[in-house]
Amino acid sequence: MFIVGKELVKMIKLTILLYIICSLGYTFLIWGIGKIAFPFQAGGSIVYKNSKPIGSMFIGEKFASPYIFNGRPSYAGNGYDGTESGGSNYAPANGKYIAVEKKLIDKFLIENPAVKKGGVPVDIVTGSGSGLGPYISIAAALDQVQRISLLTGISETMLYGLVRRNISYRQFGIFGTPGVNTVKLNLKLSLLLKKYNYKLYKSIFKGLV
Amino acid sequence: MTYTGVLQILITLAAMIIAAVPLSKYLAHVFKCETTFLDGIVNPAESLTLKFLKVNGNEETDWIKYLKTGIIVNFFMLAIVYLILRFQNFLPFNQMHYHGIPWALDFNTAISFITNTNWQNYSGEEALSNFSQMSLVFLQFTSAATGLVFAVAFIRGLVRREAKYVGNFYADFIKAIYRVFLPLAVIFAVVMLWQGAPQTFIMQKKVTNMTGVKQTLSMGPVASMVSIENIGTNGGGFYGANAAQPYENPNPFTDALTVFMMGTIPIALFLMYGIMIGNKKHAWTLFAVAMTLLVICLATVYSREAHGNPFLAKLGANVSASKNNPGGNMEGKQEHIGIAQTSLFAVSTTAFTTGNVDSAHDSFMPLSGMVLMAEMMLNLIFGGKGVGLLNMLTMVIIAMFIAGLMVGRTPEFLGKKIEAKEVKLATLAMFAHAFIILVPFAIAVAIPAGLAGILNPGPHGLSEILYAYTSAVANNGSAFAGLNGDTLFYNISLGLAIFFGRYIPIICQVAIAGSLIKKKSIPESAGTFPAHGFLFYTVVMGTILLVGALTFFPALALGPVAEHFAMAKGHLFYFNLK
Repeated sequence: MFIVGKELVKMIKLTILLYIICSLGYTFLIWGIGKIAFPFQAGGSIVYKNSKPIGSMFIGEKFASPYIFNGRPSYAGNGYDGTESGGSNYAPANGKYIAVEKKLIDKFLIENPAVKKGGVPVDIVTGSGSGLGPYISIAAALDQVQRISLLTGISETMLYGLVRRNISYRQFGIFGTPGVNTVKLNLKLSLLLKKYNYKLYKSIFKGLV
Repeated sequence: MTYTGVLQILITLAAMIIAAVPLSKYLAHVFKCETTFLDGIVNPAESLTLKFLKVNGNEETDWIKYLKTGIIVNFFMLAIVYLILRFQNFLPFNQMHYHGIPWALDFNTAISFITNTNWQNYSGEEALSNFSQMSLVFLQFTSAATGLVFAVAFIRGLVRREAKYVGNFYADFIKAIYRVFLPLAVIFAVVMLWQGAPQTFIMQKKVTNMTGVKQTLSMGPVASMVSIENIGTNGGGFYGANAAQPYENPNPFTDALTVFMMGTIPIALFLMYGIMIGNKKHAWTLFAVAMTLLVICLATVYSREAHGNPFLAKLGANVSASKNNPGGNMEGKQEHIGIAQTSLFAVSTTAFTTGNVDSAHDSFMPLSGMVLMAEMMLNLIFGGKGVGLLNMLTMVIIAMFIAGLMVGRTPEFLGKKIEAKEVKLATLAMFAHAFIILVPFAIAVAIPAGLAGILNPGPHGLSEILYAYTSAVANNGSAFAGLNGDTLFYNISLGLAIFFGRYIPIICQVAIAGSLIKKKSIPESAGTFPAHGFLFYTVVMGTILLVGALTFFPALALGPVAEHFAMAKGHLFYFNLK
């Protein structure tokens, strides 16, 4: 069972060599490829408006105002905190969780009177795994149209059209679930609002003005 | 459950199996030292490395030296990463000035990554500098390679007759990294990068959202880590939420690709084993055993998750799937990935012992959670790099022993007599696995320090602790993440469970190889139990289910099973309000 010093030197050399290759070399290689071939993605796919960074299409944002399309509840920090990804981790039969859900469902029903009890799309009242998912179901977007139309004065037809045009269908026709990216949708909504109700636009979309 | 959902699952599984066939041939070439298409590039690099190490790659050693070298090398690697994490505040790429990781958490993390477990009691974006994340990537390569070469040594033990030597650890290890993990990691990192995973040395980007809300986005060298964490079945992601964080898994295609990355090599290893021992039928039978178990688990999880949470339905939510509303149990799941692919991901990550998650397993329905735990308890549904195959072969040895007892013959396996020594070692490996899960679990539920970490009341709290130790010992790394594991008790106890859970079975298994390699081969006769076909399949499957059920059923009955029946009765759980 005796290991000679010479053998230990080999092992230490192997460790250091592989550290240099697998940690530093490999990471820098991919970084270099990103710099050259995919600079936008490598930087986090950040979207700019008026040359100011406003976010990323991949990362959901806190859309709490009733004037715009709301996203799913978020348990990342105080909601959509990009530095604290995480879900609620509530178990399905946790009494506290069900109490939270009751509040969320009732709130959605009150805010969107067109929706009947039993018809609240389940995704809009539950948190995503990271608390950063930007997507909601098509039903959840459509159900909010009437409310937004009432509050903003944009016609329901136009808003329905807006939702339909911004559906993300299954990738390659097969992967995933059709849904609506709230970041993309609200960015498009901002254009409509700018046109039809500039005063409201300025007070809601503070980051774009 | 929808047709599209089933199709999504079938396509991904089919892609894995189709890719595994050529990959298995390549792997067999690599470890039989035959020529491969990468020789032109890799041969010079390899011989240069061996020259630098002053190792003669052709000089083989016996199993003891092979194992000893591997474990000591592992120790050095662990030490280097422990130090990097501990003193990350003095190292580069730490713009956020994160402090050094406290010793208990560091101990847990370093052990967790060197053993291919990747249990994370920290949240990557909140605790680690980019330099520290990169050092973990180093262990993701080497831990996967360690598991793989031990499996190769085991297979050589079965193949060689009346021999002594199992191979040269250095040569095999370097081959595994240069010829398998590095090339694959680079390819998939570029794909992930293209799809939207960041690769930068900036740690945080501050933005002002369209609504005027200030948001900070955490990033770093994500693409390079996502690739090897899955290819090496490590599972330790860059972010706290792992593949649920959109930067790690930007879209449904990358989600399927991640499952593909996790599963293809473990499946290929089963087939490689068949090629190396020269008995493909035997390997395909074992493949069928593992695949059957995988499909059963998948069907259970998918149906439970698609069914949704009855409590939410009662409150007024619509949980049944329709054209515009995917429905199901959406708590902790990403909307655009959907129930079917999330179920496949969860079942795969526990089958292939990756531990990467694209959803909150803690929020799964009770029976789904049970299935995920059961997969890790068995730990042989293809399993992680190398160890899954080793566990399956351990179970086969026990099955052959039982079959031998039933017919009253000395059990044989692949032309070698299975005798007391091998059976003892195999039983020890199996019992060690169960023992190291259940004993610390029992201790944790009995003391305040263990109970303090629980998030969810009732049987689910018990499940959280059971899941933690199962995941640790199975070297999986996924979690019922409600459990707060960053306490002195959990850091140490889980760290030790991970350590013993990895090395005790591996030592037993390589020792079996060391014992088998000396034996001479006995010619097949009419009385030989065939190592393939339906009878063999049934005996192995029966052994797995019996052994698994008898060992773990009581613990599962107290957790998820109790929770399931209580839920069916409409019972909610609360903590005692004092």
